[in-house]
Amino acid sequence: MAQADKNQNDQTLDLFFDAAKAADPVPKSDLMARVMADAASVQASFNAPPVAVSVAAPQPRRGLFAGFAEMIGGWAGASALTACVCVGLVYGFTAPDTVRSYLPEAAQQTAEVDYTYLDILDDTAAELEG
Amino acid sequence: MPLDAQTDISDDALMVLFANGDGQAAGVLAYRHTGRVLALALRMLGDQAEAEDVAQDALMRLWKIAPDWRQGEAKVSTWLYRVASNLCLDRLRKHSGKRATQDIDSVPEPQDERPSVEADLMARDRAAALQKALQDLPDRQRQAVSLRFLQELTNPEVAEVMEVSVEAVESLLSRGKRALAQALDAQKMELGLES
Repeated sequence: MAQADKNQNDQTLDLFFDAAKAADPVPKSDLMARVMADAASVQASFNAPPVAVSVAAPQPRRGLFAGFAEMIGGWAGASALTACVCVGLVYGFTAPDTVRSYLPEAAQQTAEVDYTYLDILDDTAAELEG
Repeated sequence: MPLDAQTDISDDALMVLFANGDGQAAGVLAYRHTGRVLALALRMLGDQAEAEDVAQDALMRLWKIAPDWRQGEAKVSTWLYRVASNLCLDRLRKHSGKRATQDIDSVPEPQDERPSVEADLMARDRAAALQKALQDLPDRQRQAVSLRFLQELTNPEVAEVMEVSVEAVESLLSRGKRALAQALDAQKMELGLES
């Protein structure tokens, strides 16, 4: 009996639902115009170029080496200096005689270490003591 | 081929077209969905102007999300129903205490504008009586009944829109239908449903 009543109620409600669906509102033209205007506005924003940022980017903090490199002419200068130092070290360690051969004769003589002044100093000291 | 003739193109594809700048995609989406969203909002709010505002707002949110729309994850209709439902619930909460009431004149005219016959008048009166009874339901019951029996969603779809379990939807529908049947029982005779 209760099930029969429920079915009867459902059937009655279905008639109300059918009537309501038949009376569904049709969007008015001004609502559709507003909706389409919104769509056009939003769509235009998809294609808009990005707004330029006028705030300057913060300067990166420079290290000591970067400052030195700038002083001697940038990275090119630093590279040249490094290459020269390396060549000098290689020559100095591997072939010092070769380097001396490039010097003029007088310079080669002065380049010899002369210890005779020590003998003179010893003699002078002995005379003073004697 | 003009886009408005491509009635079988999917909503997902239309969303991609819209995001890529196709001007006609919005027209097809609006044509398909504005009426549904408006109908749901009108049933939940009982006010034509407010329902139109909700429909416009819900569609606006659809346009904005188009570039991020993930195809195959949610149906556009379900997504719109959820957004519109939440907008309606927000408005109902703001209006709590002064429950929206609707007189028979604010029920939309049937789409057929031919001279009224008795059947048309009766159908309009039944629609108005149902709308009035719906307005007396708690918000969540009204939402569930409207989505299930008037927007014709399935129970799982209603659950997805309302973000509750299917069992919760069944409970809301059961209580909602019982309350509607009681409210409309007294009007059966005058609405031609009982002799």
